[in-house]
Amino acid sequence: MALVKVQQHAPSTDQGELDPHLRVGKLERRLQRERSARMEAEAIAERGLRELYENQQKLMLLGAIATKANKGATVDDTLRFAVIEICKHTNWPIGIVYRPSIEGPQRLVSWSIWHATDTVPLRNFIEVSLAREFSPGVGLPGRVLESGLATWIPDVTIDANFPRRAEAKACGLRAAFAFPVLIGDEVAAVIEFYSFEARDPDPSRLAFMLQIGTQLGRVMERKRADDRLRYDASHDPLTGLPNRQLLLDRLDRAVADHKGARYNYSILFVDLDRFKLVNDSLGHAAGDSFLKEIGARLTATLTQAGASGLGVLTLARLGGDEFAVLIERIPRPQAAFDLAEQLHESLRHPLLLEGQEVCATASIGIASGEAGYATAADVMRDADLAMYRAKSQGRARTEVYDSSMHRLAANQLKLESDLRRAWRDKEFILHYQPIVAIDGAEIVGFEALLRWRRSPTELVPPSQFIENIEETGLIVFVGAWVLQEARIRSPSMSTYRRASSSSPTSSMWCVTA
Amino acid sequence: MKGIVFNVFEEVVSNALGPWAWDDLLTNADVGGAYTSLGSYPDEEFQALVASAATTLERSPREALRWFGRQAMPILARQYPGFFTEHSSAHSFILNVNGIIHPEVRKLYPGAKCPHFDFRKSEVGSLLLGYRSQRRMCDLAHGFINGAADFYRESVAVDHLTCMHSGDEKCLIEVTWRS
Repeated sequence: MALVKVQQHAPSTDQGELDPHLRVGKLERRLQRERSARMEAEAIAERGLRELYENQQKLMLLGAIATKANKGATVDDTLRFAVIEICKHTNWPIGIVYRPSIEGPQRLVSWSIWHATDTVPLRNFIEVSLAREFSPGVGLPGRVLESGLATWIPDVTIDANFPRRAEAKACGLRAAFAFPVLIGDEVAAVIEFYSFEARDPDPSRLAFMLQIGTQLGRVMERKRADDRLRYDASHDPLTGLPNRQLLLDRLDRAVADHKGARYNYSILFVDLDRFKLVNDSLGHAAGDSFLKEIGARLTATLTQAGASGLGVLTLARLGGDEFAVLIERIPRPQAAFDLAEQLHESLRHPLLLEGQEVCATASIGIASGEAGYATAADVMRDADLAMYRAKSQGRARTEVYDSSMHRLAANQLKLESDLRRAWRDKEFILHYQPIVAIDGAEIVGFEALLRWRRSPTELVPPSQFIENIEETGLIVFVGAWVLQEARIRSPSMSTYRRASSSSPTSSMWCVTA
Repeated sequence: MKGIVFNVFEEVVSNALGPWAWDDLLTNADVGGAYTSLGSYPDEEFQALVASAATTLERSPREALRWFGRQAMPILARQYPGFFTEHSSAHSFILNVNGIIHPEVRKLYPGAKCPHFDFRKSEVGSLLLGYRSQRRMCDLAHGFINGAADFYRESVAVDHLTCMHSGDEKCLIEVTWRS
């Protein structure tokens, strides 16, 4: 405005020329204007450059963190990387990461991830920070936990809500900010940073840090989903116990460990006796509850045993009513048998299912590393054999595998195939025995007794094979054949039945009038 | 040398010696004189301007450089207040030159060749600054230190214990605060 006034009052000649002094004054003012304009232009350019630079730095930082995470770094590594990079970016000397406590999310504890450009002068502050816990609203991390917002403290040494004030003061720390790592609304971590200078809040920095927090949250979310998938793939959904695959993986490890002659191991096959009865009589829902309860009891027993130093224990549900316990680094071979006894004991009290008391027992087979197994599959096979031995010996007991079981199993297998061949080749024959009335006067019927003519000179008694034809289901065909034969032989009789339906191993059929 | 230094020099000279003094300096130093803050210009032009100012001020070029550094501080404080308000003392300000001020300078002026100082405390409690640069402008640092002390209303003594101008490998500047 001043310049305009001067122009208005300036005397001029007819040709519009100015007095030389006024002309110089005018030029000086023009110079001043030009100079001001240049400086303003420079300032605008500087601001633009600065913003450009800062935005570039921000993008580079976000990009670097994303690259780190995408290259398969763990959550810990990514967090550590982020803390170091933020310290570099802000030129602030220290950053510390906190996570919600496992025993209840309403507290923050150290994640044991931190970075300091110079550890020595900050040691005391770091130690105090790593040892502390923060309730919601308490201190800087607690405030972030409570609000879910990035938070700035201009000077911690005069802040009323900063429990580590004395330690911060002693190290010369002043300004601080912290931001949450968010998964949805959940604060999955809090990261705090400190400066040696007191600083007023910088909203644009806080907004940027929140952006980093969101990005780190995505990394953690991805890891969680990944963990969930892995967990689901290796655990039984009903009981939450490790599944067969996980048990086999660990057994592989145990077998390899043993080959290195370092540690012994044992595996216990735990098969519930008569589980089918529970399922059939009380329904599948009750059967599921039954399995869950058994899983819980076995787990409790193992927890106790593990606490008393019984190696590394894995309880798995193999499927159906089959459980297994792997003991890695077992201190003494007898320990597996002792554990089996404890497992039997844990089942001794009846379970309450659908208002009914149900008793559970289990047959347990044990195989141990001393046998020098080459593969996990071999160990599983032998533990299974031992378990079947326990079942055949009357159930609710434990059998330890020995090599005779293997022979026995091989014999069983051969017998089964021989019996199928015998049926095909019609080698079964019937011996008849009359049933005489009590007064001895009349034959009221006869018994048909099953025999197996294995060769012209060898007649096999039913005691040696009847159980097998029952197990293989051949009994259905053999039984029908027996009754058919009997009818042909004595069409005048009216009743044809197996002698004892309650005994699964009866080899006698009765034909009566 | 970045144009901002020439511009601040111009302001210092104009403030102290009048509006025409800078043009005289440009003429005497035989330099181009069109400097914008974001541009880069030969170091020799700055040295020629300092020498020219020294003649006008009837001082040695080293003294002229110290004078410039000291007088430049209030101008820098006006243009970049953030660097100054974050500190409450010259000591804190000086210690942050490497960590904050020079990185910030590099943000504004990509390619700026800022010197690096190493700091340590002497046994008697003074601050020792190690400086090594091909520009050998320890006197500008000296002037800046005086200017910073003025800004925070402190009194300091600045001594060159060793100096590249005396053939030493590096400069060691001691700053002692007077209470």
